[in-house]
Order: sequence, then C-alpha cells, then structure tokens
Amino acid sequence: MNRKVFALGIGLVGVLLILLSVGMFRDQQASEAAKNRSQIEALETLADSVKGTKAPDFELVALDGKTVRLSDFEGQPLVINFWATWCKPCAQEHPNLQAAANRFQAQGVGFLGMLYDDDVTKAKSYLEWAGEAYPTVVDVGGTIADAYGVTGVPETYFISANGLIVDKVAEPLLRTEDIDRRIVAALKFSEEAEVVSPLIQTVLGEPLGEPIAEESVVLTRAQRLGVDLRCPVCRSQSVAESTSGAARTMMRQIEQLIRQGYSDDQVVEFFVDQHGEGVRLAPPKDGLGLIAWGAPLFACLLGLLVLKMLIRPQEESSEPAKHEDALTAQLLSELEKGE
Amino acid sequence: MISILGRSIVLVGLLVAVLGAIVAFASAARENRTGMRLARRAAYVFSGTMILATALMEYALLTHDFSVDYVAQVGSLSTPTIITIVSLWSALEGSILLWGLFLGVFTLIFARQSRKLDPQQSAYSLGVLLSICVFFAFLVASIANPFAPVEQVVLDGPGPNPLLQNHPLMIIHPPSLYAGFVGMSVPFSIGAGALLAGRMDALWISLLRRWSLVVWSFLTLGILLGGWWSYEVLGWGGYWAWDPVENGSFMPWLTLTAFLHSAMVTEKRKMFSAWSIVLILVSFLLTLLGTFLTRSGVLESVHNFSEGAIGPTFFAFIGFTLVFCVVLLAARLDRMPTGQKPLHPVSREFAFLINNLLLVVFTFTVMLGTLFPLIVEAVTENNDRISVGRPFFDVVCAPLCLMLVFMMGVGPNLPWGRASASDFQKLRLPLIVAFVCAGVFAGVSWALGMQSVLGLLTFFIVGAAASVSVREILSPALLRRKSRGEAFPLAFWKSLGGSRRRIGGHIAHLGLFLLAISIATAETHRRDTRAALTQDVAQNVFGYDLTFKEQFIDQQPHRESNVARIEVAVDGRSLGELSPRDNTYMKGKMAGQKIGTPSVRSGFKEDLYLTLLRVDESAGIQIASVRVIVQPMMRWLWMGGLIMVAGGLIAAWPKRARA
Repeated sequence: MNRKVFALGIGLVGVLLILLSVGMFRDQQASEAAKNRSQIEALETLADSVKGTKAPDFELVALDGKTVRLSDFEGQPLVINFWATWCKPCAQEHPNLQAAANRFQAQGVGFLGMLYDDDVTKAKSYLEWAGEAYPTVVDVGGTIADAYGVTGVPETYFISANGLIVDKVAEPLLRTEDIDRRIVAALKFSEEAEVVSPLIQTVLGEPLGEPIAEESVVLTRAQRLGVDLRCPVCRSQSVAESTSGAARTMMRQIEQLIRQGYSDDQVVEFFVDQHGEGVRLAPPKDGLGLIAWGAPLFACLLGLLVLKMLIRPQEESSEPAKHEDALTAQLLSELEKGE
Repeated sequence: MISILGRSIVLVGLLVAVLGAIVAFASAARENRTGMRLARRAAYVFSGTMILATALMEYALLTHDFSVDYVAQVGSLSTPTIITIVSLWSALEGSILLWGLFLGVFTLIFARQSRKLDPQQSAYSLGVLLSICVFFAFLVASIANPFAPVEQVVLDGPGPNPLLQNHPLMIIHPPSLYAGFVGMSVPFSIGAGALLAGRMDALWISLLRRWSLVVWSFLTLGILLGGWWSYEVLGWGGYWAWDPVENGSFMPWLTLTAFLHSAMVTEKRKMFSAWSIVLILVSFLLTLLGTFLTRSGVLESVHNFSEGAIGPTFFAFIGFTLVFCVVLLAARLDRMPTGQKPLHPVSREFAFLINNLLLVVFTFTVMLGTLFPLIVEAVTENNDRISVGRPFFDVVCAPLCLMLVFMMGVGPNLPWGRASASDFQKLRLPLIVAFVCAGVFAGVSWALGMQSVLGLLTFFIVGAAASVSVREILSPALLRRKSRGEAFPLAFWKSLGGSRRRIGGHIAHLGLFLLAISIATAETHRRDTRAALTQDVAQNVFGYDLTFKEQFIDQQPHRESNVARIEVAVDGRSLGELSPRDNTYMKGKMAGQKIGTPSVRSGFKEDLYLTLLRVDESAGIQIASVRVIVQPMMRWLWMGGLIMVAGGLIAAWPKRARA
C-alpha cells in the first residue's frame, strides 16, 4: 500500500465530494426563491435607471390608422402602457387603466397603449370586447419598446408635461391607488418642473472620453462589452447574446454610455454599481476571484517543476527502478493536486 | 403487460450482472478458467437482456402503448414515426435504458475479445465492467424504471420534448455522446483489471489504447454535434458556451486525449504506464461527474435535466468509485512496470509529457471554473456574487490551446530518447518549410481580412504545426515511392496499412488545426445586428440584400410553424431563400411556447444566420424583425471536427489479421 498516494487521493476525493455535496444538499426552494428575487431586483434596477431621463420620441400608427407622435402630448402628462393580448397580467390590469383614463383624461392627462409583439387583428377584437378608453399604437419591430427600455409586458411609463419619465412600473397595476398616486406625482412634477439628475451622472460623473457620433463604432464596442455582462433573466447568456427584453435594455444602456463618451471601464463600473458584482460573467480579479484566475498559472508552474524533477540524464540510467517509480508517483500526485 | 415483461427482463439482467461480477472476481482471484467462462456467459446474457428491454420499449413506443408510463410521458399519436423512435432518449428513464443498451453492446464486444486475452486480467476487467452493469441495471430497475405502469390511463400523450423534435441533430447528438460516456466504462475496466492483476503488458496497453480511441471518437462526435445543434437551433449563433454540462463532456475528452498520447510513450518506451492508467481512471470518473452535473441540478445550467432521485444515487456511485480508484491505485501503483530509461528534456517522450501537463492543467482549469460557484457558495453562502462564464474561460483557455497546438508542431519533430545535433540538422529543411508555410498562411489570412493579433498568432502557429502533420502523413508514402517505385496514390494506400496509427493521429491533428483557425476567425469576425425588414423592400445588411417576401403559417399535426420567407441576394444575384421561423408545439411541458428556429445559409466563406424575432403589421404592411448574424468559416469548423473523428477511427481501425 502506497501511503502517500492513498493520503493524497483521499484528500482530493474528500474536497471534491464536499464541494459536490454543497450543491447536493442545498435548500433547492430557498435558492430558487433567491434566484427569482435577484431577477426581480435586476428588473427593478433597470426600471429605476430610466427614471428622470427624457422620454424617447416616436411616430407610430394607431390601430384606427391615425398617426400618433409623442409631441402630440406636449404640455400634458402622459401614461404609456406596453401590452399584448397574449399577456395574461395585461388583461388583469386593463380595467384599472380604463377606469383611470376615464377619470384623468378630463384633467388633461394623456393615455396611450403600445402594442408589444402582437397581432393587430387580435388586438382590435380584444379591445372591442374589453373596452378602449384611449388609443393603442403599434410598435413595429419593437424599436420604441427598446428605446424606452421595456423588459417585458405589461410595463407602464408615467411621463411629465415637460417630457421626462417620472416613473416606470414593471409589473401589472392591479390597484387603482397605485395608478392614481403615480399620475398625481406626474401632474405635480410638471407644476414644479424640477429636473431629476439622470442616474448615470450621479454614479459615474463625467465621461473620460469624447462623445462618439459614429454609430458603427458604438455598436462594435457595445457588442464587445456586452459579451462580458450577464443577462439577469437568462443568467447563463451574456447581454450581447440574449434576446430577452432586459438584455436588450442593458445593451441600449451600454450604447448610450459609449455615445456619451464613457470609457469601457466606466461602462462596466456603472453596471457593477447598479446590479452588483454578479453582473460580470468573469470573476473579479481580487478576493476569491483571484483563486480562479491564479490557479491555472500556479498549476502550470507546479507541473513544470515536476517535469523538471523527472528529467534523468543518460549517465544515471543504471539507477535502480525504484527511483523512477517514486518519481512517477510524485508526478501523478502533483499533477492531480489541483483537481 | 409490457410493463411486467420489461421489468422482468431488466431484473433478470440485474441478477445476471450481480452473479457474473461475483463469479468474475472469484475466478480471477483463484485463476479459475471455468469460472471465467461462466462470467463471460453472464455478460452475454446481460447484453441480451438490455437489447431485449430496449427493443420492447421501442415496440411500446411505436404501438403507442400508453399503459407504460414512459410512453404516456413522451409518446403522442400525432408525433411522426421517426420522432417516436428516437423519443426513447427524450426523457430520463428512456435515456438510462439507452445507456443500458450501449453498455450491453460494449460488454458483449469486450467479453468476446477477452476470450483470447490473459485470463486473470480479463476476468478482473470483466468483473469491474459487470459491476458497472449492476449499477445501471439497478437504475433501470428502480428509480429510473422506464417500464413503470401508468397511474392514470390516458388516451394520448403529450409527445416528446419539443427541442428533440425541432432539429434532426438532436436525434443523433445524445446517442453519440452517450456512446462516448458509456463506452468509457470499457477502458476503465481494462485499466482497473490491469491494476487488480498487478501487471500490464504490451498487448494490454494496445487494447486499452484501441478502446480509448473508439470512445474518444464518439466523445468528439458527441461534443461536436452538441455544438452544431445549439448553433442551428438556439438562435444566437453560438456553439459553445462553457456551460457546466458542456464542460462535463469536455473534461473527460481532455484527459482521454492526454491518455492517447501518454499511451504512446508507454507502448514505445515502457514508461509512465502508471500515469497512463491514472488518466484512464480519471477520464472515467470525469464522465461520471459530467453525468452527475447534467442530471442532478447541482449547478445552474441551461440544460435543465434536473430530475430528483437520480442525483443522490449517482452521488453515492461517484463517491464509491472515487474511493475504489484511490485504494486500487495506492495498493497497486508500485507494481506497474516502469522502464529504467533516461528522460531527456529534448526528446519526444518529454514533448508528450509537456502535452500531458498542458491537457491536465486545461482539465483542472475547466473543472475549477465549473465548480467555482460551489466553492464560492461553500465559503460565502451566496453564489450570486461571482459568476464564471465565457469571458473567464476564453481568456484562460486561449493560451493553453495555443501552447497545445505549438507542441503539436514540436513533438513529431523530436526523436525518441534523446535529440542529437544531427537530428537538428535533419530538421532544418522541414522547419524552414514549416515556417514559410506558417508565414504564407498568416499572410493570406491577413490579406483576407484577419486583423486580430491573437487570430494571426493562431494562424501562424497552426500553419507551422499543420505543415509538420502533412509531412508526417505523406512521408511513409514518399518513402515507399522512392524505395519501391510505386505510384504515389498506391504508395499512400499501402502506407496506410503500416502506419495507420500515425496517419490517423495526424489527420486528427489536422482536423483540430482546421477547428482552431475556424474558431479564431469566427470569434474575431462575428457580426451581429437586428434589422426590421419591410415587405418586398430589399435592405442591405452586412453586404446581403434581404427582402422579406411573406409570412405564412405552416400547420402540422404536432406543431404550428410561423415562417417568414426572406430572399437573399448579393449584388443583384439571388442566393435563394431563407425561412427563419418559430415553432409552437401543441402538447407537452412547453405547449404554446414559441421555439425559434433560425435559418442558416452556410457557405465556404461565411454563414448568414437569420433568426425571426417577430412580424408586425402597420397600415396593412408587414414588417419582419430579424436578427442577422454573419460568421465566417463556420462550415470549416464542423468539417474540422468531423476530420478529427475520422482520424480517431482510422487510428483505431484494427490491423489486418496476418496469417
């Protein structure tokens, strides 16, 4: 019995089994819940990040064929609801929004529905049945949803009279008071005309570089940066790969930051600040992450050391076989050590 | 009826495997030849039961016998017949049965081979192999029983997993990967048999090497098809994501590759035999770990196979096998034959050692990255803070890959034993040729638009290494032509017989080189964007004129496809049509969910890859939103992988029996 081999082997086996049992005996429900929680938090963070920014302009065709622009609502607060017929929570909040529109349209508040990835005929017949207190426009290709940072449906935006996004809700509005409170806030906001400082400046300060106008440069850089950031919804994919709404919103944010002249490091810093260290798809180069980055190099050096010890020049070939035996065993054990 | 019959067959298999394993070990310990014959017969019977059980399950699937729970789970009257046949591996229980089938077939082949081998060693090996059979038969008979009767009678089932139905590659990817994973049991048994018997001769190591080559080819094919499938189906144009499950199949591939090289040193120089056996044991353990990661839900993965009870059982099996291996190694390692040859740092054997070092470090890195979330979780109780994804693996593995390719160019140039000054003189010309090739190669690729520095470095190293491989493949034939005056094609064909192993190995190397430059090019020159295509209006994206013609619904019994017809043209010349679509399956877990299926136009230069995102209608005009990805050299990537598989099979092909 070779004791060295035995001790080393059992040690490695022990480490591996302990690690696997961490995953084996984890509280599945709790970790599932934690995952869901972090996903909701990520979506809330994304919702928060659009608050205080200027509402993107649009020109879209409504279901009745009329053209609608954002500027049509200039000087009045506006509620924009992204929805679709295939989305069940949308149907749940629909009556509440109808009621709110009936109450507030008289006070000069605009209401607009935006159809999100849906069939026009289906939408028309749905509205005929469920009631249509305000127009719905068709967001062709989802470009406006992208511009607004929509991560899914239903999502509702509250826009002040001077065109700033005051609030965004990324879940169904099931209680009347939730709608009312936000509309009132939007109304007041226009009265005070206070300008919220956009989030980016508070987090990052001034951009390090010059603004970039050339769109192809922006997109290439965004694509490269997006590969390193994790999509909060798909988790195993990067935001550059994923087609989820959250990932696309994050890609839009990256592009926006690059356009304004922020450096690559600043862009990553912004997302780490907003979503935490886990948003990076690679471990950080400090703390625990250092183990992940350093261990391969360490293993390489250790292996080279072992190989060096194995070298046996011609002259010593008459040595007893036992010697090489021990060395081979050592090689095995050393190479195995890392695993 | 089928339930009872199937269960009985499996139970007979289990019983026979248990008895066979006991008899095999006992007869090996006492060197009893009669017992050995008995164990071999037990192996035949076990194989028979597994083949029969699988056939019975196929019968149940094809006749839509919904009294069997598995059929009720994955079968459906509206599913096409071919899909019904392959739905054997569309869920856990059926997959395990397929594993049993493969195990049965491999056991049959090995048992027949073992008649002519050292009786004691083969008895030990057969004992180990039958013990593995016991475990799988136990799984099939208990927690993953595919023949369980249905609890509630159904008239029609939901049909198999839509992803299985969605692409033909999904039909062949799992079986080839399973064949590799299950096949690994045989080399493991051969290695463990050698350790148990405490000896290892040339015949044994060559048997081990041949089996490993077959397993390696299956693994390579399985991994390749997995990547190919995800490219064709998942819609983001990727083929490898360093997901835990992918890594689980990659790690045993790496260690098995290391073994194939160390085995050459063991065979030629009688060195490192203990190390070679360790690599075999580790490869088998890694296939178990890979399976465990796939089936247990221990790690967060895109492959959602996590299915309850099988995890703990597998965990116990891994634990047992690990301890068994450690004890076996500790007890018998010192008895393995070791040559007393000197080891010179400039020699082929040392080059192989460096190759082994790189591959082992590679395996270690992949394992570390894969299990890192568990390390973080163990230390901080929160694994959300650190994620280890593609950027990490790409950065860490790229230099390892480049060094490996570099060594593939160096190794074949070095002589066994010790390189002398005259060796280097002989090498001068080939080396110059290699570097000229590398320069030309890198130059041409630069001229064609390769701008990335890492990419050019890859081209250069690959160029040098590839010219070495080409020389190695052709040199036996050239030698023959010179000495015997044969025409080159004939000389090449004849040389295949004598140096099949070397030629196969270098063909596999060439395949890998092709793979390497394809990956380097595809990754550095990938272009990805979205476009909104208005009906009948051509739009230029990355040099392609895309015209959205129409959207239509393709109704089939088991699914509904929403298809967009898009015409592709370059400079006014039509290249045909692409029809990206999303499929909605009527039944099953994902019923009603859209499953996108991209449409790819594959070319020698680059692939045009379209994913349908949505179709909108505005003022009576339809607008299709598509994701457009252009990736160069993808076709070469798949070809490189297939060449690797071919090389492995050429090397594994048995020598013609000589009278």
